[in-house]
Amino acid sequence: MLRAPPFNSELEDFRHTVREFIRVNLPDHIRQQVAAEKMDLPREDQVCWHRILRDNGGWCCPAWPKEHGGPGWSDEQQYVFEQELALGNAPRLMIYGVGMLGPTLFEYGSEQQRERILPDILNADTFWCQGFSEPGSGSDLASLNCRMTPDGDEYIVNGSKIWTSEAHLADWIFGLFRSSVEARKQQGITFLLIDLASPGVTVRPLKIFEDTHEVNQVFFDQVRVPKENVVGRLGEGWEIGKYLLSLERFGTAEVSRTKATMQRLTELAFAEIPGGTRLIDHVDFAERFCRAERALHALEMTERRILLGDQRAESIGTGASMLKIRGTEIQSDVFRLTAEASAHFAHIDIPRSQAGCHSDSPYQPGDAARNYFNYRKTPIYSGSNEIQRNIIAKLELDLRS
Amino acid sequence: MIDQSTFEQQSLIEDAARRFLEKNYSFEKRREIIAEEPGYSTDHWREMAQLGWMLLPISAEFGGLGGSTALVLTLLKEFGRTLYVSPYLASAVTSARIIEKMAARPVGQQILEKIGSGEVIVSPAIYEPQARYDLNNVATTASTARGAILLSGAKTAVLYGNAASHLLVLAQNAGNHESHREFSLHLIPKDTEGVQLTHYRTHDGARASDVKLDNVESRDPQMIWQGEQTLTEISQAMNLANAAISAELVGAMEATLELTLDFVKTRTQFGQKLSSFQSLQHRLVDMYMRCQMAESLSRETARAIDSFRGAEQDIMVSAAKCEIARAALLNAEEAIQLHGAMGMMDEMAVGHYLKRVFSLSLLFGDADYHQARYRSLRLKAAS
Repeated sequence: MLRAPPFNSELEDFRHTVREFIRVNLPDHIRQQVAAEKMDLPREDQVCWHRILRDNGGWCCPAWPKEHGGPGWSDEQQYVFEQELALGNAPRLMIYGVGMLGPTLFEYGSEQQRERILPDILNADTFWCQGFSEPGSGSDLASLNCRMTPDGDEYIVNGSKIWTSEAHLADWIFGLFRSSVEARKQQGITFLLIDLASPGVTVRPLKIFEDTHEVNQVFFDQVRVPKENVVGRLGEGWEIGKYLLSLERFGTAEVSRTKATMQRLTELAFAEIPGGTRLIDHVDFAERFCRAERALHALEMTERRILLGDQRAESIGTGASMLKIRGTEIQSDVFRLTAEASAHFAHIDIPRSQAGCHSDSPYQPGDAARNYFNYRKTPIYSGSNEIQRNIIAKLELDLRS
Repeated sequence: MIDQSTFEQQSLIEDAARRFLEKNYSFEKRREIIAEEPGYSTDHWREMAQLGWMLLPISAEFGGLGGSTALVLTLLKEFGRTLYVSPYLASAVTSARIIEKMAARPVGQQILEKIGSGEVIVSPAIYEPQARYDLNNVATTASTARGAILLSGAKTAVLYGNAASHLLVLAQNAGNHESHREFSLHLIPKDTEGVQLTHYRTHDGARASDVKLDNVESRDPQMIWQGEQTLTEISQAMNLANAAISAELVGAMEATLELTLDFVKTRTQFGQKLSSFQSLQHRLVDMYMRCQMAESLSRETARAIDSFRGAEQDIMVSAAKCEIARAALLNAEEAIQLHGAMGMMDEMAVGHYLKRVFSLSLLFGDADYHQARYRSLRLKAAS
């Protein structure tokens, strides 16, 4: 088996503490959903787990300093923590409030904003979502056109945001809005916080082809937003947005999540099939399985090199793009393998709630095919893999268009 | 992760090797060297010996410098960058490690010091024409007749057999039963009667030989090693060799990417630089990412060699060799394509990188061989 090298004993003790904490404290009904690869959990489950972590020294916000209620961990500790969450089938941390908005406010927010907003994120009293993409602005994000027009002490917002994950669960949205039209489209963009309960906001669910409701379109019709909700300076939004996207470091490659999926696939592959052949004894399957394992190990060691290696930098730069591309590509391969692993039984379309109940099957496909369909989103979201390639081409290889 | 002193030592050897090769081994100079016999520069060979590079892979116990595997791989990666060819891999890496594993110290040290000084060149004569990359498939026999041990059989892909002073011959002891085979290893001076070599140039400009052994007497009992562990020890030594090859491949991949980037940034078509075309940019990014993944796996082989034995070492080395060989071939093919017709020209380096990468990928087990080895180890590990 390919195994990454252990850390020093202090960190390995820390790993053990985290693992034990998760084993004892993670509620079963939440663990089961994550083990079934469900990414977006119901709000009450996310809040429940978040508060369990919060009460244990602010573990819910691993990248936050102590002064804001986080644990003040080193990079290595954050890395190990994220690994153990994945391997222990614990939910992903709350990405929008905890991972993105919090650290953005540390850097760009006013004292008043930090005091008003951070405690509610820490306590999971406020649920955030992110408004970046628009119907006409996907990969070409800087062309965004959802407008904010000044009116006294307020802005009036008109337009819409799309593919907004968890907007149907959220109380507030942060995002990029057009405050003026300038020569460069990256100028005139402002980072703004909007209460979704404001009059004129409508959240319309969008059903994805895999059959779940994760994303939405959010409409703004003459929505009044107080000027104090601008983060940073007017027109500074593009810089802040870039900063925010560079924050997520630990876990973006989904290495440990894919390792957990791989572990489940391994069990399937090596299971004895009465009257049949073990999946792993089919040579072509075995080759693809082994290839995925090797690629995942190469990715894991590359991730360590970038995040924790001797050339570690404040910003991981294009490393983030590479980890995102390879991470989502390998994850897709593993999901397809997992879906195909159940042969005939993989194509039975039964509701998620009843998946895994097909008792005649020597395989238990569960949600394997649904997950394969659902995870087609990962090479598309948070900057498509094509956009990530553009970034590497420009910034790492110095190739100009 | 890498500790600071290893990191500094690596930087030192990387700088030294890069300076040496830039000065002495330009693409033009290389072209002259490989065009003539013996297919490598004996001057460079002496200088490298003086620099201590041949002592680097040999453990201190046997009179070497006992460099960590990471250091050895750093040197080989630099070789890969410049397409450097010589008997280094055969003698200082592979044969030296086999002898270290098999020989008792006083005798072993004696030979290894000479390998380390460059005066003796030992080429492993392990693989046979019928065996592909299977170390277990040994038809060469060692038999005893009138008190003498005689070797007969055929060996192939004996690296730089033309330059070797000695061959390290793997044989199966005559009279073995299928169920209990014994193997022995013999260090034979190349001029021993009955040793017949056919030399050839390989596609990468290096040299290799086919060897026929016709009742060759293995005279020196101190230079014969055997025991149940023979194949296992050779296989472990081959792990180092494959780690070394993988590092060379990574070096070649890096250089291939660099020269391709230079090309697309200067070549103009349709009134714009090739580097401005997105379809080409994305292919270059994929090449870059394959380089990065290969580098990570190559570092893992160093860790595996220094920290593990047996299956755990085997599986890591095979994972790396298989993935890196495939990636290196693909990158070299892409590099030629991105050069367009210029990529087909003999005067351009890019095609020579493909030839080198092709040769390296075949040595000591190709990607398919290592893929199959990985799979079989993986199956055993789980059951």
